[in-house]
Amino acid sequence: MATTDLIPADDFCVYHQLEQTFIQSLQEEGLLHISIINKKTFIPVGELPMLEKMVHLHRDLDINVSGLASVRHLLEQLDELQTELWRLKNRLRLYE
Amino acid sequence: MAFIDYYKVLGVDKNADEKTIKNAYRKLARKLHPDLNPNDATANKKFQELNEANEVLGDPEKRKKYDQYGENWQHADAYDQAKQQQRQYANPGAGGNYAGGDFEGFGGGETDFSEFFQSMFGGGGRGAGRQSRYRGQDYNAELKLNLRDIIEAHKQTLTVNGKSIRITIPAGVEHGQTIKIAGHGGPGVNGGPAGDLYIKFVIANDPDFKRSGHDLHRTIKIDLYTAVLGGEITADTLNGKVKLKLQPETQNGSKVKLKGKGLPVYKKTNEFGDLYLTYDIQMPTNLSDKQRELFEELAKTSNKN
Repeated sequence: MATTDLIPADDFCVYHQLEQTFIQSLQEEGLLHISIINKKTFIPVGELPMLEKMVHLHRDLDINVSGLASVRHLLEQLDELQTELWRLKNRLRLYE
Repeated sequence: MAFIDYYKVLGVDKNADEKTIKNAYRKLARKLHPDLNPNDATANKKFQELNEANEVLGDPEKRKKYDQYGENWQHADAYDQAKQQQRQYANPGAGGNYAGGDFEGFGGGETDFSEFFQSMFGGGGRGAGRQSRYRGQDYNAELKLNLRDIIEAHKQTLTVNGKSIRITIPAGVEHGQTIKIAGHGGPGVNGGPAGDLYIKFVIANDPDFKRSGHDLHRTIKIDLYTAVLGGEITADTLNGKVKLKLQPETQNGSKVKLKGKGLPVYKKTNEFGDLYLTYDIQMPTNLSDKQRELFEELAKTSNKN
């Protein structure tokens, strides 16, 4: 059975000096998947890169959770477009 | 060491109040934030400069020191001593009115931004607070390869920022594809985790083979007689030669697919793309009299004539 590495949300919040409510809000907005084990909240390691991005954007730019949802959606679109551009550029190499 | 005009970086006037500075920072940060500008080194560098400017001008004490000494920061200690002496002479009890020193003419050579900051405010930079533990910087590197380097997975040692890293180059990797080597970026700040190393593969075009995903394309020359009458030809693939039977009356530009003779499929063992050969039929030149005669004979038998 596949296993997932989990980080206690408490540790993450202490490390980043965050309120637990921020993690809850992200989860409620569908921006973060969490696991609850024995009434304790854990964050899967795979969620960390995006979560850290959201923490930075929230702090550095004062973007609230709704704003983060829009930013994330746009960043995903940007990523898809960049991937498509990269694929098309590689196909063009066929004719160089 | 070059003087940095933090007011210029933020685009504000020297008399700007705290709110104006904060707004200017926010406005530029929204534009240049690294998480909003992935893979944009220029934006990342500007954001770093912006943060530094905000660190100084957004903190009243640092701003005071910066404004007081400005580009003469290097003489700050001497200035303070002179100031104390002046006070003692002028009014030992009540702190006199010092006219200020003349530190004109300071100029420095080229250096990086942080050096200026650290010289003036000491190392670290970030105030004790929310940004005290920061993940290290991500490093980006490019690795140039040839098409033939990716037929099989192989190990290669790279030197990144003076450190040797042995990595496995996966078979079938694409041009422009990036892999992440976790924890091999810059060291974290104040105990934060190290950044990651991103290696981008740059695969040079091959003179013989063109790539389309995991398929390969190649044009091969066929003489007219073999094309018309059919026969056996030998074609090069990426890892050897193959013999092919050419059907009679093969048309110019027609293609044949050699299944499994393309590139390995990325991260899929024993799966390969195909090789497409396009026939380029060569017209004979410098015909002899006999050949010309035979072609004329042939032409007479053609329906067109």
